[in-house]
Amino acid sequence: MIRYQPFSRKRSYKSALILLLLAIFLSFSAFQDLFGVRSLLFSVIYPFEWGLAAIWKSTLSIPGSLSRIRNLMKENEELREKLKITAVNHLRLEELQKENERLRQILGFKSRSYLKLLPAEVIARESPPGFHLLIIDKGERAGVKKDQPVLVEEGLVGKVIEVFPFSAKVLLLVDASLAVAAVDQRTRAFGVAVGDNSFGLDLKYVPLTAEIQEGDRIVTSSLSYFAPPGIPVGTVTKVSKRQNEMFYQVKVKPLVDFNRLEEVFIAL
Amino acid sequence: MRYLKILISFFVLLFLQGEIFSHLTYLGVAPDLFLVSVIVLALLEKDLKQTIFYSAFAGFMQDLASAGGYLNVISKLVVGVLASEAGERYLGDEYSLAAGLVAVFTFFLCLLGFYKLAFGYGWIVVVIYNLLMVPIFWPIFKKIYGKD
Repeated sequence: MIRYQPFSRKRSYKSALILLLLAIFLSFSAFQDLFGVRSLLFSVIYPFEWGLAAIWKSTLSIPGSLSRIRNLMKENEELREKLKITAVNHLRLEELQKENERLRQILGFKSRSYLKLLPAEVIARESPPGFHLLIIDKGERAGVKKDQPVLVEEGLVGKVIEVFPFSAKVLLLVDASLAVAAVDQRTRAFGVAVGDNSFGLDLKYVPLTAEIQEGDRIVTSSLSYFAPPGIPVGTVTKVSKRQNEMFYQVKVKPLVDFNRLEEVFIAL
Repeated sequence: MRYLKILISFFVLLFLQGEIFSHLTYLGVAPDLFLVSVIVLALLEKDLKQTIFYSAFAGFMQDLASAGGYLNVISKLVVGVLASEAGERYLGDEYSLAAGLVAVFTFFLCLLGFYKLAFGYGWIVVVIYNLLMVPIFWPIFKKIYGKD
């Protein structure tokens, strides 16, 4: 007589199939967050990940710390000097900004608000085979929201795609699933910068009538849905055209070194 | 105790993948440690039900740190079940089977678009990179996932 087999392979196939269908359903449904469970679980993982990242970073920093302290003291002196000069320039810029706003008002242009930046530390990252992602240590509690742009002093880094109470995920500009409206700073030729999945960018839809050349700087356009205008994106490295095509093939080298990001700013 | 060891190993893998291997990219590609771990686990774990649970959990962990849906749950679950089936039928040594399966599954996942690749032959880089992980992680995984 055949008895009940608690772990028969047939039953296991059924459970695998159920899990598979559930994962497919969830992937393409509006319940991806599993009614908050995903956020909750990520918040549980976060302290461990943050802790491991902190241990790892401190371990890496031990060998060079002593010589670095001496260098830092020297650098600090130099930076103080530079800061004094920058403070004077800043006053001039403030004046220019006010003048610019006055002129924009006279011409009937909408005044541009300046960015409020929130600094955040990178605690983890993901590279292909998955997405080009960063996990940062600021989340909902710090005022981070989905779709906010993330920057560094060199330029645009990406945008916030998922927010948790104490952390957030940032999709990098070099990921093929992120696109940003951009313009050539010199000629104002318009295009869409899309990641090529290899830490580079393609500037798409630049018409053959536009003027663009190697070395041109590409900045975000006012048409971008998430990034403020004028944020540097990259430098044109190659411009080519194929027969029977309406647009240029433009390769752009990002200004940001995505492999070395440790601190970023979120534009609130 | 073994359950706990396996679950902790996934946390560590998440950290390794996110903190260390993300800096060791070649042509924009990093290895998929979870794929290697799921295959090794499926070969060492004889119980299919357990394999399914661990594979889905590994995929879920990867999805938590990734963007979008649950593609890693789907891919790791399928890989786990197929690797377990292959392990049942294969009479040779598990190490060579693990290496073979890593190569085959990486290729198929590339083909199905589970991996984001910058260029047409990117799959070769991912296959080689994942294969390189087998000799490095086999002894570690065997110690953690093995039943003896």
